[in-house]
Amino acid sequence: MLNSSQQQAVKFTEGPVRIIAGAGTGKTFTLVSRIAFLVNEKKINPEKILALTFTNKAAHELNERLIAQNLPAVHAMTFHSMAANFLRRFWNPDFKIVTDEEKKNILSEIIGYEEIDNIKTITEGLDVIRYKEPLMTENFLRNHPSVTEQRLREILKAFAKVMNEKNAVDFTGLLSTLNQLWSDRPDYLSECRNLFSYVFVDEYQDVNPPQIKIMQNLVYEHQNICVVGDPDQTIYSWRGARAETMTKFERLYSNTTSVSLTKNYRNPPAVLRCSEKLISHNIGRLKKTLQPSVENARPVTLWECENEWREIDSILHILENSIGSLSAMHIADHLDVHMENEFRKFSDIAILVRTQAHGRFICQELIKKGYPCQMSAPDNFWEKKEITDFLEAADNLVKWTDIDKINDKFSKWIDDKINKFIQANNFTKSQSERLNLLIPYSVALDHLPIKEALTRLLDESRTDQEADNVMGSEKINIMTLHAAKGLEFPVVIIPGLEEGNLPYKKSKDDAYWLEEERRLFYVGMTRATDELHILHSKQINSIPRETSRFIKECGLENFVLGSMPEVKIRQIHHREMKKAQMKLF
Amino acid sequence: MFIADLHIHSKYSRACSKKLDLPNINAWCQLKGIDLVASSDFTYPAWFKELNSKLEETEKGIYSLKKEFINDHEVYIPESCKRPVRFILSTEISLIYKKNDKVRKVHHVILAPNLETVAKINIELDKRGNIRSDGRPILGIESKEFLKILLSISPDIQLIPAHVWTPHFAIFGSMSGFDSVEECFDELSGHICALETGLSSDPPMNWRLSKNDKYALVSSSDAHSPQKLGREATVFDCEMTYPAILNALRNDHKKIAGTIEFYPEEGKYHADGLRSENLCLEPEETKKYNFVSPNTGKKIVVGVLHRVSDLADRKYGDKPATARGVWYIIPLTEVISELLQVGKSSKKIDEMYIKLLEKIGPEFYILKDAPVDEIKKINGMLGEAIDRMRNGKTKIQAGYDGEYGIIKLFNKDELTPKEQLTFDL
Repeated sequence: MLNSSQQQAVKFTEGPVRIIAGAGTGKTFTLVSRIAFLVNEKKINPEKILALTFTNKAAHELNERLIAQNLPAVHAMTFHSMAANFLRRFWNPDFKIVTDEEKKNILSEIIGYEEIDNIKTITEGLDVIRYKEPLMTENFLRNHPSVTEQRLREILKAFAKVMNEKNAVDFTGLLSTLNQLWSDRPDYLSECRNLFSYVFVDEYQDVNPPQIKIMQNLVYEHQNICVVGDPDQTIYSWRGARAETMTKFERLYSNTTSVSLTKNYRNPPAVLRCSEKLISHNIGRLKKTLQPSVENARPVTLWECENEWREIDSILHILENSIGSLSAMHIADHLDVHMENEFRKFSDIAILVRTQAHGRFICQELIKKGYPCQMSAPDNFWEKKEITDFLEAADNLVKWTDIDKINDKFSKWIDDKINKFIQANNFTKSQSERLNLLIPYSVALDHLPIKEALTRLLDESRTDQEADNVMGSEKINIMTLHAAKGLEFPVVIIPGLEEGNLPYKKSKDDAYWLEEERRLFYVGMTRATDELHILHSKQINSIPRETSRFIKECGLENFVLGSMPEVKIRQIHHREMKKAQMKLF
Repeated sequence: MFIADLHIHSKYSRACSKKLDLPNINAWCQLKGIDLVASSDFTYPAWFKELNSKLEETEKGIYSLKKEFINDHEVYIPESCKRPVRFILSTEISLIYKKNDKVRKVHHVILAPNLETVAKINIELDKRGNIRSDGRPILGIESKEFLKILLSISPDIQLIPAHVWTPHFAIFGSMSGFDSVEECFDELSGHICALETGLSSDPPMNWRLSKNDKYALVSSSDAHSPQKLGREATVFDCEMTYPAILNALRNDHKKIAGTIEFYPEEGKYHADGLRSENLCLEPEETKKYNFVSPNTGKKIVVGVLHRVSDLADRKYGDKPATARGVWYIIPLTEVISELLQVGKSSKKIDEMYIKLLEKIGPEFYILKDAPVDEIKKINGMLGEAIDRMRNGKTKIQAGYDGEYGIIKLFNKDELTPKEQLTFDL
């Protein structure tokens, strides 16, 4: 059932419409209902409807919902795949899209040796100058004094030449090439315009200048554009999005109808109290106040930790109280029997971090405790340095020794070599364990002579599927706040609320980026459908850290302080004492 | 006939003795009289490495510790106990997942036909979860999905639900289990052929569910230290090869002579009750009191027996035609402890234990097979104790609400007063 503002959003079908949809207000539901209304009530041909998203995942989910509504003919895709489709049809049917990795390789051949360390900034700069927005370029150059506009243009020219030779386009190039094509060939533009009579853009707050331009061009004649978004969730400014894009929509399209969805169906009231108070510190935002509708009296918990290790202990404590004992009977006897809530499954839980490095640290500690968890960036076994180094060494060994004379089974040979390799190098326990994991792979090849078996193992290392693509197993999600956008979880844990981490060090002294960090935290908090835990450490690496200003901005009265039972604190003290003593002797 | 312990752990499982390595397991099995023992923990990389380098296949799917490692143990093995010990590839995994709106925590034992198959299992599981930090890995995979993965690797892999009635971590567990094998495995239920009774149940408890008649009952120690090896075990009456054992489990349950069992009453959650009130109840009494204490109104903690009787369709004591043999045992150290009237971990007991083994033979032989007269010749009271144990003449006080049960063979006045005790052999 649609609520009244959702109904409004559905029924204004003609002309430009802006739907400001706060977190958890049923954005996708409204969007799909609106498309269904157009097709079923207004009898619009579904093939003339285009819905654009940012990520493949969002496009995939939208497609699934459309299919469920019996609307499979509606075109739902990402901006980039739309651009690629148009370009193949009107410009060049067989160009290649380069991956970020390939792009990096190409760029590192273009730029000078002394610029290599700066390659990330240069890549970003190449995108910014292609947006052709003088203000953004100026802003970028001011914030990155290590590059000049002239140098960027030189690199861009060389890069464009290589891409041309390779018959390839990079991601940003897809959009700028399409805009260029349309301005060169108005006949193509008009053909594209005729394809769609209604256009939707999901997550409009994330569009960048070339995307805005593409939209303007595409809907120029009928002006039937409907955008959905939440300016408070603009967290992709580093990709060219701007917080004011939603506001400026009215200036681009006269006669805009604007609808706000404010009834929140996702978060407990306590989470909304915190997050609304936080985001109200951003100046000049489109004001909207979310109304809670979920009945849930659970408070938001704030964990004040002595240091980063205690932060891990607190996370483990939260996990124990969510999942119960993992496998030990004696723990289950007192823990599982006295659980306050029903057990959660692993994938109910998300740990949202500001940086990949923080996520990796937490992931590593949880894995030690036996928890299955995954980082949004996969931990690719075959790309680990100790594995590639070992395989390379083994490969060389086969070339230089008279391998046919060895009678051992392959796995024994590998086992032996691994032992020697571990002895010769100063590996950590987890590195050694990873090397030992090569043994099952080699046992599977024991029927082959050593030389062939090794070739097969090397092949496997290059073609093995990513662990993340394997379905059917559940893990605790550890991901960056950026990656959490659009998702929701019953239990959300956000560690690292220290100045310098969140807000991140580079951003905290710049008014715009500080607000972006605030939005990032806002996005993180509003992922929680039941429990929200926020943690900060007073010390990291023995250096005192200031508590994030965001905590105060949420309103301290909106938190309850988390604490561990005495017994556990004693255990931790004991462990720390032992560690300190070990260090002493 | 041979005695098999199909479920134990290595030093790489959490909360397990550091002494659980291959040579020590090999040695302790001789003391205990175990013929075939689980390799344990085969998914753990470092342990798999050890299995792969230290075991050799001696019969089909059955392995032995290589000669060069056999003497690396830390215990003394009397001549009377020396015997060959074989290994079968078997491990335990812990699955935590949600099904039908409820989080389930279930442990399963997996038997594998050879190391090559184990290697494949490890490769698959490493892609799906964390097998690198615990010998008994914890995975977020549904039981059915998990079984599917195993069967796609080899049809000869066998999954056996572990300690099926334990309140936590068991297929029929009251906390996070299921009401039937079918509810857990759906259309793959046909691939389940056996259930592990676990310490908390014995065959008569399991016989009360007629729908479980089709499953073979097996028993294992789930040992976390070498001393606990074989505290429960399965007696097979077939060739000691993997295919023969698989056939006994899957097709011909008569090839299982029976199981060696702990008294389930000894478990911490056997009966219902409340420890704080010294209140121990039968399931029927708990129901009569509406699950709250008649004294204080506190919620009564429900035990394993209650859970069984909730799902049962037979009375206690009814025996299905498919039933196999049952031998109840009390660990020899506990028998000695009662006779000597000293604590279970006393040094005296260890000395006495080894002496008895030297004179008579492995523990299982003493508990199960040695003629009582023969034992009486060595020590009269011990002979009497063993005789009473074999004939079920025991005094049992069931465990409840976290309190261990107590099993005694003698009344206090039957025992020689401690100060006059001479227990020479």
